[in-house]
Amino acid sequence: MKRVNNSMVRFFLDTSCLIAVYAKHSPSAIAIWFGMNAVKLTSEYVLKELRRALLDEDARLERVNDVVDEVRRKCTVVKITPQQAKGIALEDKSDIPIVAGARACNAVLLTLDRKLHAQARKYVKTAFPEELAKT
Amino acid sequence: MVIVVSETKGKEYILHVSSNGMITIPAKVKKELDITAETPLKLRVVGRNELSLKKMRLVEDSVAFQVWREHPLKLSREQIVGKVRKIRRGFYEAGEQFDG
Repeated sequence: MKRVNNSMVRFFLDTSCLIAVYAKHSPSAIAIWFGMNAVKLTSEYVLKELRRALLDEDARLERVNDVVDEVRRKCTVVKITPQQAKGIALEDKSDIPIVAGARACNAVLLTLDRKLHAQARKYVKTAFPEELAKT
Repeated sequence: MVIVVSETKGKEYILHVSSNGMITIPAKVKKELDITAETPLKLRVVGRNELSLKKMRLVEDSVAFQVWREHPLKLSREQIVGKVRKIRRGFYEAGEQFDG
C-alpha cells in the first residue's frame, strides 16, 4: 500500500478517525494520535458528530467530555461556514462539511471511510490512517 | 508492558497490561507508592512510538486499574463508518451541517 510521508503535513481528521482512536487500539489509529509529526486539524462540526457517536454508545457524559477536551488540546479546531463549502458537489451531500473543512484548512483529509476517501479526492488530498508513514 | 509513573513519588515501575486493558498493581508497588483511588498515576507504553501519558482510573478494587483510553466501544472499521454515516445523514436532514 502506498505510504504517505507525514512530515509537517496538515491533516484534517474526519470523525471516523477520532472515533477509531477511542474505540479501538489499532496501531494506525494510535499512530495518528501520538506518533504523527504533523499539524492536526478538525472542525466544530466533527466534534458534534463525535460527541453524538460516543453518547449513542452509552458512554458516560463525563467521559465524552474528556474525549472532546482531549481532541481540542491535540487539534486545531476550526469553524466551517456554508460559504466555505461553495463549489463542492458530492454524491452524498452530507459529506460536504467534512470536505469543506479539509479544503478550508488546506489539509489532507484523513478518514476511514472508503467512499468519502474516493469522492473527496476531486477537491482535497485524502489518506487512510494506515497509509501514514510511521515517524 | 507499560511504565507506571507516580507523580507524587517520582518513581517508575514496569507493569504488564492484560488483554482486557487491566493493569494489576503488585502489592509491593502499591505499598511503596501509597496508591489509593485518588492517587494521580500516569503511564507510558514501552517501545512503541512514545505514546503519550495517559491517566488511569481505579476499577473495583485497589489493585486493578484500567487504562483511561480503554473505551468501551468495540467497533470495527465498517461499524465506525456506518455509525458516522448515520449521524451525518441525520445532521444533514436537520440542516445542522455547519458551525456558523
